Amino acid sequence: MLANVIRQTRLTGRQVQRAAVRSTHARVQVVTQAIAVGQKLPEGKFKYFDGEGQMRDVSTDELCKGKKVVLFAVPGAFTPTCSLKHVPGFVDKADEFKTKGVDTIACVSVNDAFVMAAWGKDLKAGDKVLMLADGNGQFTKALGVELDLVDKGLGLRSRRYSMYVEDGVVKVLHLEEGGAFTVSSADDMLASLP
Amino acid sequence: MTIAIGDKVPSATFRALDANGMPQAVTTEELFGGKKVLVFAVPGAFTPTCSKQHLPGFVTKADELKAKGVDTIACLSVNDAFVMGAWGQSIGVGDKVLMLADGAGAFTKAVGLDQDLSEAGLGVRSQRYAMLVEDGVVKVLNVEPARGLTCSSAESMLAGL
Repeated sequence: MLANVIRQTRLTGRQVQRAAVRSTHARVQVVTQAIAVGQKLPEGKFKYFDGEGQMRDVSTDELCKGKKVVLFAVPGAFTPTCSLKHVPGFVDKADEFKTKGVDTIACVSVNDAFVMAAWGKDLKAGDKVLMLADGNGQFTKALGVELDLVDKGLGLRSRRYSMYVEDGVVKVLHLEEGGAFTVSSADDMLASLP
Repeated sequence: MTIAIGDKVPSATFRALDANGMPQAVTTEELFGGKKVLVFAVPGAFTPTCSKQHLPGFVTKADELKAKGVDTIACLSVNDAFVMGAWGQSIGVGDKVLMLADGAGAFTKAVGLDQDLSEAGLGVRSQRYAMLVEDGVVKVLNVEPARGLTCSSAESMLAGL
Protein backbone atom coordinates (compact mmCIF):
# COMPACT_ATOMS: atom_id res chain seq x y z
CA MET A 1 0.00 0.00 0.00
CA LEU A 2 1.29 3.45 -0.80
CA ALA A 3 0.94 6.28 1.69
CA ASN A 4 1.54 9.86 0.57
CA VAL A 5 2.88 12.20 3.18
CA ILE A 6 3.45 15.83 2.26
CA ARG A 7 5.10 18.07 4.76
CA GLN A 8 6.05 21.70 4.33
CA THR A 9 8.99 22.97 6.28
CA ARG A 10 10.78 26.33 6.29
CA LEU A 11 14.47 26.03 5.57
CA THR A 12 16.62 29.19 5.79
CA GLY A 13 13.68 31.31 4.68
CA ARG A 14 12.93 29.17 1.59
CA GLN A 15 9.98 26.79 1.38
CA VAL A 16 10.82 23.18 0.72
CA GLN A 17 8.17 20.70 -0.20
CA ARG A 18 8.90 17.22 0.94
CA ALA A 19 6.93 14.37 -0.54
CA ALA A 20 7.57 10.98 0.99
CA VAL A 21 6.29 7.93 -0.78
CA ARG A 22 6.34 4.78 1.25
CA SER A 23 6.53 1.54 -0.65
CA THR A 24 8.76 -1.51 -0.58
CA HIS A 25 11.49 0.87 -1.79
CA ALA A 26 11.38 4.11 0.21
CA ARG A 27 11.93 7.19 -1.93
CA VAL A 28 12.05 10.80 -0.78
CA GLN A 29 11.82 13.60 -3.29
CA VAL A 30 12.91 17.07 -2.24
CA VAL A 31 11.73 19.78 -4.61
CA THR A 32 12.90 23.36 -4.22
CA GLN A 33 10.24 25.87 -5.22
CA ALA A 34 11.36 28.19 -7.98
CA ILE A 35 12.74 31.61 -7.02
CA ALA A 36 10.18 34.42 -6.84
CA VAL A 37 10.15 38.21 -6.92
CA GLY A 38 11.11 39.72 -3.59
CA GLN A 39 13.44 36.87 -2.63
CA LYS A 40 17.18 37.13 -2.18
CA LEU A 41 19.26 35.16 -4.67
CA PRO A 42 20.67 31.96 -3.15
CA GLU A 43 24.41 31.65 -2.69
CA GLY A 44 26.20 30.46 -5.76
CA LYS A 45 29.65 30.39 -7.29
CA PHE A 46 30.35 30.68 -10.98
CA LYS A 47 33.51 30.36 -13.04
CA TYR A 48 34.32 32.57 -16.00
CA PHE A 49 37.26 33.69 -18.10
CA ASP A 50 38.29 37.32 -17.68
CA GLY A 51 39.58 39.70 -20.34
CA GLU A 52 43.10 38.33 -19.94
CA GLY A 53 42.07 34.73 -20.45
CA GLN A 54 42.37 33.80 -16.77
CA MET A 55 39.77 31.54 -15.15
CA ARG A 56 38.16 33.22 -12.18
CA ASP A 57 35.51 32.48 -9.56
CA VAL A 58 32.72 34.89 -8.72
CA SER A 59 30.03 34.46 -6.08
CA THR A 60 26.47 35.73 -6.38
CA ASP A 61 27.35 38.08 -3.53
CA GLU A 62 30.35 39.59 -5.36
CA LEU A 63 28.23 39.83 -8.51
CA CYS A 64 25.15 41.42 -6.96
CA LYS A 65 25.98 43.24 -3.72
CA GLY A 66 25.08 46.92 -4.04
CA LYS A 67 24.55 46.52 -7.80
CA LYS A 68 21.81 46.40 -10.40
CA VAL A 69 22.23 43.18 -12.33
CA VAL A 70 20.36 41.62 -15.23
CA LEU A 71 20.86 37.87 -15.09
CA PHE A 72 19.52 35.58 -17.80
CA ALA A 73 19.87 31.82 -18.16
CA VAL A 74 19.85 29.46 -21.11
CA PRO A 75 19.53 25.66 -21.37
CA GLY A 76 22.75 25.23 -23.33
CA ALA A 77 25.70 26.97 -24.93
CA PHE A 78 25.80 26.57 -28.71
CA THR A 79 22.17 25.42 -28.89
CA PRO A 80 19.96 27.04 -31.55
CA THR A 81 17.58 29.45 -29.74
CA CYS A 82 20.20 30.39 -27.18
CA SER A 83 22.75 31.22 -29.88
CA LEU A 84 20.53 32.74 -32.53
CA LYS A 85 18.18 34.81 -30.39
CA HIS A 86 18.64 34.92 -26.64
CA VAL A 87 22.25 35.97 -26.12
CA PRO A 88 22.48 38.22 -29.21
CA GLY A 89 19.45 40.16 -27.97
CA PHE A 90 21.25 41.06 -24.75
CA VAL A 91 24.51 41.88 -26.56
CA ASP A 92 22.62 44.22 -28.92
CA LYS A 93 20.73 45.97 -26.10
CA ALA A 94 23.62 46.13 -23.64
CA ASP A 95 24.17 49.86 -24.03
CA GLU A 96 20.49 50.59 -23.48
CA PHE A 97 20.56 48.56 -20.26
CA LYS A 98 23.61 50.50 -19.07
CA THR A 99 21.84 53.78 -19.82
CA LYS A 100 18.99 52.60 -17.59
CA GLY A 101 21.39 52.07 -14.70
CA VAL A 102 22.15 48.35 -15.01
CA ASP A 103 25.70 47.65 -13.82
CA THR A 104 26.15 44.12 -15.14
CA ILE A 105 24.46 41.82 -17.65
CA ALA A 106 25.32 38.17 -17.11
CA CYS A 107 24.41 34.95 -18.91
CA VAL A 108 24.31 31.71 -16.92
CA SER A 109 24.28 28.15 -18.22
CA VAL A 110 25.11 24.71 -16.89
CA ASN A 111 28.25 24.45 -19.01
CA ASP A 112 31.92 24.75 -18.11
CA ALA A 113 33.87 28.01 -18.27
CA PHE A 114 35.88 27.02 -21.37
CA VAL A 115 32.67 26.41 -23.30
CA MET A 116 31.03 29.61 -22.01
CA ALA A 117 34.09 31.68 -22.97
CA ALA A 118 34.29 30.17 -26.45
CA TRP A 119 30.56 30.70 -26.94
CA GLY A 120 30.76 34.29 -25.74
CA LYS A 121 33.61 34.92 -28.18
CA ASP A 122 31.60 33.33 -30.98
CA LEU A 123 28.66 35.63 -30.21
CA LYS A 124 30.91 38.69 -29.75
CA ALA A 125 29.70 39.21 -26.19
CA GLY A 126 32.93 41.10 -25.44
CA ASP A 127 32.59 43.04 -22.23
CA LYS A 128 28.86 43.57 -22.78
CA VAL A 129 27.64 40.26 -21.37
CA LEU A 130 29.50 38.29 -18.70
CA MET A 131 29.42 34.58 -19.56
CA LEU A 132 29.08 32.63 -16.31
CA ALA A 133 29.52 28.89 -15.92
CA ASP A 134 27.29 27.11 -13.41
CA GLY A 135 29.32 24.00 -14.22
CA ASN A 136 27.88 21.61 -11.65
CA GLY A 137 24.40 23.20 -11.71
CA GLN A 138 24.54 24.15 -8.04
CA PHE A 139 23.15 27.68 -8.47
CA THR A 140 20.47 26.43 -10.89
CA LYS A 141 19.35 23.79 -8.38
CA ALA A 142 19.32 26.32 -5.53
CA LEU A 143 17.07 28.58 -7.64
CA GLY A 144 14.69 25.69 -8.22
CA VAL A 145 14.81 26.11 -12.01
CA GLU A 146 16.33 22.83 -13.16
CA LEU A 147 15.40 21.46 -16.56
CA ASP A 148 15.71 17.74 -17.22
CA LEU A 149 17.29 17.31 -20.64
CA VAL A 150 18.81 13.91 -19.90
CA ASP A 151 16.88 12.29 -22.76
CA LYS A 152 18.41 14.82 -25.15
CA GLY A 153 21.90 13.94 -23.95
CA LEU A 154 22.35 17.26 -22.14
CA GLY A 155 21.82 16.20 -18.53
CA LEU A 156 20.32 18.58 -16.00
CA ARG A 157 20.25 22.14 -17.28
CA SER A 158 18.59 25.44 -16.46
CA ARG A 159 15.17 26.65 -17.51
CA ARG A 160 15.35 29.77 -19.61
CA TYR A 161 14.78 32.96 -17.59
CA SER A 162 15.74 36.57 -17.24
CA MET A 163 15.72 38.54 -14.02
CA TYR A 164 16.53 41.99 -12.72
CA VAL A 165 18.29 41.90 -9.35
CA GLU A 166 18.95 44.87 -7.06
CA ASP A 167 21.47 44.35 -4.25
CA GLY A 168 20.86 40.61 -4.46
CA VAL A 169 17.05 40.80 -4.35
CA VAL A 170 14.95 39.71 -7.33
CA LYS A 171 12.83 42.64 -8.52
CA VAL A 172 11.70 41.33 -11.91
CA LEU A 173 11.51 37.68 -13.01
CA HIS A 174 10.57 36.25 -16.40
CA LEU A 175 10.72 32.47 -16.06
CA GLU A 176 9.98 30.25 -19.06
CA GLU A 177 8.64 26.72 -19.15
CA GLY A 178 11.64 24.65 -20.15
CA GLY A 179 13.52 26.24 -23.03
CA ALA A 180 10.63 28.24 -24.49
CA PHE A 181 11.48 31.76 -25.61
CA THR A 182 8.45 33.96 -25.02
CA VAL A 183 8.96 36.36 -22.11
CA SER A 184 12.68 36.29 -21.35
CA SER A 185 14.16 38.31 -24.21
CA ALA A 186 16.26 41.46 -23.79
CA ASP A 187 13.41 43.57 -25.16
CA ASP A 188 10.99 42.12 -22.60
CA MET A 189 13.44 42.83 -19.78
CA LEU A 190 14.15 46.38 -20.97
CA ALA A 191 10.44 47.09 -21.00
CA SER A 192 10.08 45.65 -17.48
CA LEU A 193 12.87 47.55 -15.73
CA PRO A 194 11.55 49.61 -12.81
CA MET B 1 38.58 -2.09 -14.90
CA THR B 2 40.48 -0.21 -17.59
CA ILE B 3 40.08 -1.37 -21.16
CA ALA B 4 43.11 -3.16 -22.63
CA ILE B 5 44.42 -4.34 -25.99
CA GLY B 6 42.42 -7.35 -27.12
CA ASP B 7 39.24 -6.26 -25.32
CA LYS B 8 35.98 -5.59 -27.11
CA VAL B 9 34.78 -2.00 -26.67
CA PRO B 10 31.75 -1.71 -24.36
CA SER B 11 28.32 -0.92 -25.77
CA ALA B 12 27.28 2.70 -25.56
CA THR B 13 25.45 5.41 -27.45
CA PHE B 14 27.12 8.66 -28.41
CA ARG B 15 25.54 11.69 -30.00
CA ALA B 16 26.71 13.72 -32.95
CA LEU B 17 25.16 16.61 -34.84
CA ASP B 18 23.60 15.68 -38.17
CA ALA B 19 23.67 17.82 -41.33
CA ASN B 20 20.82 19.94 -39.92
CA GLY B 21 22.68 20.65 -36.70
CA MET B 22 20.44 18.40 -34.61
CA PRO B 23 21.79 15.69 -32.27
CA GLN B 24 21.45 12.10 -33.47
CA ALA B 25 22.40 8.86 -31.75
CA VAL B 26 25.49 6.93 -32.83
CA THR B 27 25.83 3.51 -31.24
CA THR B 28 29.14 1.74 -30.70
CA GLU B 29 27.80 -1.02 -32.96
CA GLU B 30 27.25 1.44 -35.83
CA LEU B 31 30.56 3.17 -35.22
CA PHE B 32 32.86 0.18 -34.76
CA GLY B 33 31.14 -2.74 -36.48
CA GLY B 34 33.27 -4.15 -39.33
CA LYS B 35 35.48 -1.05 -39.47
CA LYS B 36 38.92 0.26 -38.57
CA VAL B 37 38.29 3.23 -36.30
CA LEU B 38 40.77 5.57 -34.67
CA VAL B 39 39.19 7.15 -31.61
CA PHE B 40 40.98 9.82 -29.63
CA ALA B 41 39.56 11.25 -26.43
CA VAL B 42 40.09 14.66 -24.89
CA PRO B 43 39.30 16.13 -21.46
CA GLY B 44 37.30 19.03 -22.81
CA ALA B 45 36.07 20.82 -25.90
CA PHE B 46 37.48 24.33 -26.22
CA THR B 47 40.27 23.68 -23.69
CA PRO B 48 43.84 24.75 -24.65
CA THR B 49 45.80 21.55 -25.49
CA CYS B 50 42.74 19.89 -27.00
CA SER B 51 42.04 22.87 -29.25
CA LYS B 52 45.54 23.96 -30.19
CA GLN B 53 47.22 20.60 -30.68
CA HIS B 54 45.26 17.40 -30.27
CA LEU B 55 42.26 17.90 -32.54
CA PRO B 56 44.06 19.97 -35.21
CA GLY B 57 46.76 17.27 -35.39
CA PHE B 58 44.19 14.68 -36.42
CA VAL B 59 42.62 17.00 -38.98
CA THR B 60 46.06 17.52 -40.55
CA LYS B 61 46.91 13.81 -40.59
CA ALA B 62 43.45 12.58 -41.56
CA ASP B 63 44.31 11.81 -45.19
CA GLU B 64 47.47 9.93 -44.23
CA LEU B 65 45.56 7.91 -41.66
CA LYS B 66 42.85 7.08 -44.21
CA ALA B 67 45.57 6.03 -46.69
CA LYS B 68 46.74 3.53 -44.07
CA GLY B 69 43.31 1.92 -43.94
CA VAL B 70 41.55 3.84 -41.17
CA ASP B 71 37.87 4.12 -42.04
CA THR B 72 36.79 6.65 -39.41
CA ILE B 73 38.62 9.11 -37.17
CA ALA B 74 36.52 10.12 -34.19
CA CYS B 75 37.06 12.65 -31.43
CA LEU B 76 35.40 11.85 -28.13
CA SER B 77 34.74 14.03 -25.08
CA VAL B 78 32.37 14.26 -22.15
CA ASN B 79 30.54 17.25 -23.61
CA ASP B 80 27.14 17.52 -25.30
CA ALA B 81 26.63 17.22 -29.05
CA PHE B 82 26.00 20.94 -29.61
CA VAL B 83 29.29 21.82 -27.96
CA MET B 84 31.17 19.10 -29.88
CA GLY B 85 29.65 20.25 -33.15
CA ALA B 86 30.50 23.89 -32.52
CA TRP B 87 34.03 23.00 -31.43
CA GLY B 88 34.63 20.88 -34.51
CA GLN B 89 33.35 23.69 -36.71
CA SER B 90 35.60 26.24 -34.99
CA ILE B 91 38.65 24.05 -35.69
CA GLY B 92 37.46 23.34 -39.26
CA VAL B 93 37.24 19.53 -39.05
CA GLY B 94 34.86 19.27 -42.02
CA ASP B 95 34.20 15.60 -42.66
CA LYS B 96 37.69 14.49 -41.58
CA VAL B 97 36.94 13.92 -37.91
CA LEU B 98 33.62 12.75 -36.43
CA MET B 99 32.84 14.74 -33.29
CA LEU B 100 31.28 12.42 -30.73
CA ALA B 101 29.57 13.47 -27.52
CA ASP B 102 29.77 11.08 -24.58
CA GLY B 103 27.42 13.45 -22.76
CA ALA B 104 26.86 11.51 -19.54
CA GLY B 105 30.29 9.91 -19.70
CA ALA B 106 28.86 6.39 -19.95
CA PHE B 107 31.41 5.06 -22.46
CA THR B 108 34.27 6.89 -20.75
CA LYS B 109 33.43 5.33 -17.37
CA ALA B 110 32.84 1.92 -18.97
CA VAL B 111 36.38 1.88 -20.43
CA GLY B 112 37.77 3.02 -17.08
CA LEU B 113 39.43 6.10 -18.51
CA ASP B 114 37.56 8.83 -16.66
CA GLN B 115 39.17 11.47 -14.45
CA ASP B 116 37.81 13.95 -11.94
CA LEU B 117 38.31 17.55 -13.05
CA SER B 118 35.80 19.04 -10.63
CA GLU B 119 38.33 21.53 -9.31
CA ALA B 120 38.45 23.19 -12.70
CA GLY B 121 34.66 23.17 -12.78
CA LEU B 122 34.59 20.41 -15.40
CA GLY B 123 33.26 17.47 -13.40
CA VAL B 124 34.03 13.93 -14.54
CA ARG B 125 35.83 13.94 -17.90
CA SER B 126 37.84 11.61 -20.06
CA GLN B 127 41.55 11.08 -19.80
CA ARG B 128 43.49 11.89 -22.96
CA TYR B 129 44.05 8.76 -25.05
CA ALA B 130 43.92 7.37 -28.57
CA MET B 131 43.01 3.86 -29.66
CA LEU B 132 42.74 1.90 -32.85
CA VAL B 133 39.69 -0.36 -32.85
CA GLU B 134 39.16 -3.07 -35.48
CA ASP B 135 35.65 -4.50 -35.71
CA GLY B 136 35.07 -3.50 -32.11
CA VAL B 137 38.32 -4.94 -30.72
CA VAL B 138 41.07 -2.70 -29.32
CA LYS B 139 44.31 -3.19 -31.25
CA VAL B 140 46.30 -0.14 -30.12
CA LEU B 141 45.79 1.85 -26.92
CA ASN B 142 47.87 4.90 -25.98
CA VAL B 143 46.84 6.62 -22.76
CA GLU B 144 48.70 9.79 -21.85
CA PRO B 145 50.60 9.21 -18.62
CA ALA B 146 50.46 12.86 -17.56
CA ARG B 147 49.20 16.22 -18.73
CA GLY B 148 50.31 17.07 -22.23
CA LEU B 149 50.23 15.43 -25.62
CA THR B 150 52.67 12.65 -26.46
CA CYS B 151 51.63 9.09 -27.31
CA SER B 152 48.03 9.91 -28.20
CA SER B 153 48.87 12.46 -30.88
CA ALA B 154 48.08 11.92 -34.55
CA GLU B 155 51.80 11.58 -35.37
CA SER B 156 52.30 8.88 -32.72
CA MET B 157 49.25 6.93 -33.84
CA LEU B 158 50.29 7.20 -37.50
CA ALA B 159 53.76 5.90 -36.69
CA GLY B 160 52.24 2.96 -34.87
CA LEU B 161 49.95 1.82 -37.70
